Amino acid sequence: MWQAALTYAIVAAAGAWVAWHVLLPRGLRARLRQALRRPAASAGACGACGCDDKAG
Amino acid sequence: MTALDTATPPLSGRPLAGSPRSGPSLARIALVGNPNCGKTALFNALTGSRQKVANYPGVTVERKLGSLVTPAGRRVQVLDLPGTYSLRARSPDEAITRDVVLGRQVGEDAPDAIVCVADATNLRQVLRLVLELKQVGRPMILAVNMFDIARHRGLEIDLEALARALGIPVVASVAVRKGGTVELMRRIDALAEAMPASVETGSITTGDWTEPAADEVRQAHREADRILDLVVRTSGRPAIWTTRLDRVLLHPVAGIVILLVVLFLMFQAVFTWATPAMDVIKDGFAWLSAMVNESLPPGMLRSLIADGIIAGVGSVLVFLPQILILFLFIILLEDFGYMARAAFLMDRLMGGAGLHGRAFIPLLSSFACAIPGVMATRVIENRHDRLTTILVAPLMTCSARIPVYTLIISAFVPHATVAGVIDLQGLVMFGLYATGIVSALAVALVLKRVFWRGAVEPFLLELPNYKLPDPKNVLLGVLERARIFLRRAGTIILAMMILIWFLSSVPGAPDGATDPAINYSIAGRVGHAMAPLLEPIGFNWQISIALVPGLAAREVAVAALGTVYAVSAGDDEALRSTLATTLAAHWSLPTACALLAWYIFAPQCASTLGVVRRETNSLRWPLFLFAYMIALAYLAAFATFHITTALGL
Repeated sequence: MWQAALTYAIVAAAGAWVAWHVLLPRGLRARLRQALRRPAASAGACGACGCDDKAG
Repeated sequence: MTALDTATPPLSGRPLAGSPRSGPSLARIALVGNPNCGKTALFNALTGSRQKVANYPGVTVERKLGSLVTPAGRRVQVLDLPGTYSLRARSPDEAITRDVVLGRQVGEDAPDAIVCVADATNLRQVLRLVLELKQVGRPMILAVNMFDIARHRGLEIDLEALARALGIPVVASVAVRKGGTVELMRRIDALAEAMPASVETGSITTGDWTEPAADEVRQAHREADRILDLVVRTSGRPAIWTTRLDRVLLHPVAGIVILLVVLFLMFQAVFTWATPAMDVIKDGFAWLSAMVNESLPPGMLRSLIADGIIAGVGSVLVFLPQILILFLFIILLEDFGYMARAAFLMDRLMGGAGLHGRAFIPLLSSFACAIPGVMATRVIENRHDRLTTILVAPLMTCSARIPVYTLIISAFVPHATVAGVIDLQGLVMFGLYATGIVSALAVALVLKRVFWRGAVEPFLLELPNYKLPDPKNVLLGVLERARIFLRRAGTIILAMMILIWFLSSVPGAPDGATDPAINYSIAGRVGHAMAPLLEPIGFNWQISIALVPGLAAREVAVAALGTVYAVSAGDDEALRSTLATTLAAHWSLPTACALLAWYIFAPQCASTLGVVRRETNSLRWPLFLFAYMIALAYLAAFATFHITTALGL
């Protein structure tokens, strides 16, 4: 039972991560950050997919 | 710290031309200089950052911000700006520098002072820029970088005389070894102390800088030459190595042959050198999987960890050694100064395809990732040339394709040699890279012929001097690639694999079901629904499942295949076989070839499309990019599948 609960919790966390970082458009994410009074994300080139490879 | 010369300048704490008051407190400085003079190396030395540095112009195309604490305890923000020869900006990256320096950049406070960075081996270029910057009216320090190389070549620079002639403080610097940074920070302190702290930061106004007329430009050139004659003495030992090497490496025939040999050896090394390390990683994940299966009772959690996380993420992590070896070569060649020569050699070929010579650096950057490649197109002045380069940059083989290519190659291409010395797998990999390059040239040719007819503008590129690669820079560069790859594995790939495992596992098979359980899952049903669309190009439903998350990042497709096949297989089978052996057992050779062809043109990861939208300021171009690439991918896979099938492979 606890194994199933832990599994679902891990899946939910992964789903939330993908929704926030991959699915949400950058503009909407910025507005949500602003609404939550979180500092603006750095203007990385590739932040959405977790690749922080930037020019230069 | 290297002991370096410094000049006590006629430090001007005086009011500056065009400034409405005596000066602001110094809170922000900007590093300005010619391309490839070591601005980013100095930025890294001052701020402790690890921004990319390389021995060719055009590496920095956007402003970067860091901070330093001076010996007097003053915290100062440091802006690293793209290189420019003049404030008369001609390309988007130069426009950023001009606008920031002149305080015209929206949302950006103007710098309170400028540190102009000079290449000590080429002072003439920077003196013109210094004279122009003086008209802006901000306090300025000149950092004469690469001072050690200039000395080695017998160039004697009289820093005192230079400071007197320019009327600004002058400091010697060897940024790659942090030489001269303490003295530079002392000079920043001195500059700050000479400025009253009562005025709000960033409020200084610029002088009366206007774009100079031709006569004024000629006058500035004459003044730069006059100062140069005053301060620089040459005592023999000219740079003969660069000239001698260039005679061979830039030869129209020998140069091209050497370039092809270098690239060929690079891909051979990727396959031959990486094998032992890859075997260790594979064995490590097999051991980990066995441990999980022994330690946990059968159930969802065990399946999630073994089939989802270990099989999925592990199948991508195993390619880390190959990626690092590839980047080791690229960084070594960049540091040596060879990449700019490669751009020179490729200019005729690229010009024939309608690409501007400056497109080489963006296309080269795209071998790491299309995103920095697309951003690096800012060095291209002409809008049509820039758009063409943006649209073909994603065809260059980015590092995310490496796991896909190497997985299929290791599954279907025998580990054999051709002519006794050439590794066959490396040869196929070289062919895939070459196909990507040829495709980019072909698409560029079509774009220029169909959309933007016109002559290709001449290409001017300042060739950097050859340098022995700095081991620390090389090591940091390789470690940075490892960090980026591991971060992707630990974030997007991990999260996506957990979701794919979940979608491949629920709902479970109904009672009395005879098919594998995955056929009843959400992912199985989606895969089967997509199968008719992809069947003509030889893809099965497992590949269909993998292609969808592959849009987020290409290597996720490999991890997804690992998870889907692990969920499909029984525990014993999963333990016995690697993903490569599983694919070899389940796919035909035409299917494998078709998937390789698909990934040469594979539609972009979402982030690349986002950056194309940002750089073109339009939704039309990313949509066009996606449409043409998916059409090419489908056509290429279709043709490959049917030709290889007809050949009986």
